[in-house]
Amino acid sequence: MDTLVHGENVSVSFPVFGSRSIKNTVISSITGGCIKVVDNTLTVSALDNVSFLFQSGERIGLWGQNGSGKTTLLRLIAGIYAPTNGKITVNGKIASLLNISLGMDQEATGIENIYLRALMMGLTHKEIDEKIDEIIEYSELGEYINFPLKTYSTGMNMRLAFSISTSIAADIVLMDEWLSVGDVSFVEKAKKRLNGMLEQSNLLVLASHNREILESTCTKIIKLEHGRIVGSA
Amino acid sequence: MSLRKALSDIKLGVKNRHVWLTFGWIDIKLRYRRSTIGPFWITISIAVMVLSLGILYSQIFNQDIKVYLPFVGCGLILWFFISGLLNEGCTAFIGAEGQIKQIKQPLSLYVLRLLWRNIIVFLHNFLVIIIIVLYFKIFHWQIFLFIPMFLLICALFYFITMILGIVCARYRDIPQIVLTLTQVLMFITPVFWQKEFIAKHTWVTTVNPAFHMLELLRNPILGKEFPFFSLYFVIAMLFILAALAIFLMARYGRRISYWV
Repeated sequence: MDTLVHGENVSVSFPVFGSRSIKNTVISSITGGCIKVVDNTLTVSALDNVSFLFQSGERIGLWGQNGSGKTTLLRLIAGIYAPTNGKITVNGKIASLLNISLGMDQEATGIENIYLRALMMGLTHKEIDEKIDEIIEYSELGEYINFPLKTYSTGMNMRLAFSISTSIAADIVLMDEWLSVGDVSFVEKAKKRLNGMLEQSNLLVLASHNREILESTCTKIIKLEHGRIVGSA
Repeated sequence: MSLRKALSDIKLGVKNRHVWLTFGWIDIKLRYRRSTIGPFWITISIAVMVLSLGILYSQIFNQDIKVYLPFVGCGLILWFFISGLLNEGCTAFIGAEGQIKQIKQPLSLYVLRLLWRNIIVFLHNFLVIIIIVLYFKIFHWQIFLFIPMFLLICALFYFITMILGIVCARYRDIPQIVLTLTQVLMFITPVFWQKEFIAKHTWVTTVNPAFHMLELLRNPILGKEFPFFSLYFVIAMLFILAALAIFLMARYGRRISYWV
């Protein structure tokens, strides 16, 4: 089996807002250091020294409470965050389905939004032209596809985003809490589509706080707590 | 981010031009959605401003309107391009937070999107310059020099936007500082007045980078003497700022998603 994602002692920590302002730096320099910024490394740790190895064919579930580091880990794999410490190696093309509103604009029509989102996700105009009919059909939006996004219900919005995002072929698919929204019939349909997409992809990393969803989709579940991996099954 | 990664980010931004070309257009399109004449409101509002200021100030400064209106018209339109980019440049990454945190795209892509959006606005305004040139019959072959000079200024702003974008993502007071300075800059740059007005204090314009940018773009349009000194000044700035921008990208590029 090929190793697709390999993280070695990876940490991600965020600088705290207070230390962000130029004021502190200026004040501390003109006061000769009387008022000190508590080191420039005043930080919040989102992932703390985690190591993991995901191989092709695996379906990884990231399970944990809010704030346990699920999304941060997905963003780390997607290359959005560079690790503050440690090293991460990723091999393969990534499709990151982290947010339903990526690239979407409320004023633009459904069709325009298909182009915008798909472009953001890395497709070319030509590739989108080839796929657009299928995307429209799958979204079940009918005439609404020519209407601005702001006339859509939340469910319609999600169907559109979902059908665009899942039309992209990739080796590694990253998903964040998607299936917990949407009605029952759509969730069923979405699961089918996802399985189809995953047949072509090699690795799925799915984050959720819902253990049942993870158990029904994943081959391995990793439990995160306060930015640490505390167990896997 | 290492130097190699910074350079590949820049290369990838150019390669993914279909993304920023589309998004730049969409930004403008959406701003004027449901308005009948759309982005041409940009053209109309600047035309009204040029006309009224041209008439008013030619009286105040006691100037021939045939000379003064083309001067102040071109000056204003070019100035809005320069100052708009300086101010908006601060939001290059802050404004793209939604995308930066959701998907991996080269950072330079957001810089190019912003630059392209401002070029589109400028091209709408350029219509007014064409009207001025035709109406006042100041057409001169030298006007074609404007095109390479404009491209040079765009290249310069690519790096300026990158620098401002990075620094402002980290220090949130900088956008306000830039805003304040740009307002002052408008008055100490010969937009409304000609540099001959301050013959005794030429250093005010000589050390002013905005003056050299303006001069380089305006003189070819007005058919005035080509400002070689300004050209050298801008080229020197281009090299210095390019080096600075690439250094900042190499050093801090990987931190931007943490800062926005």
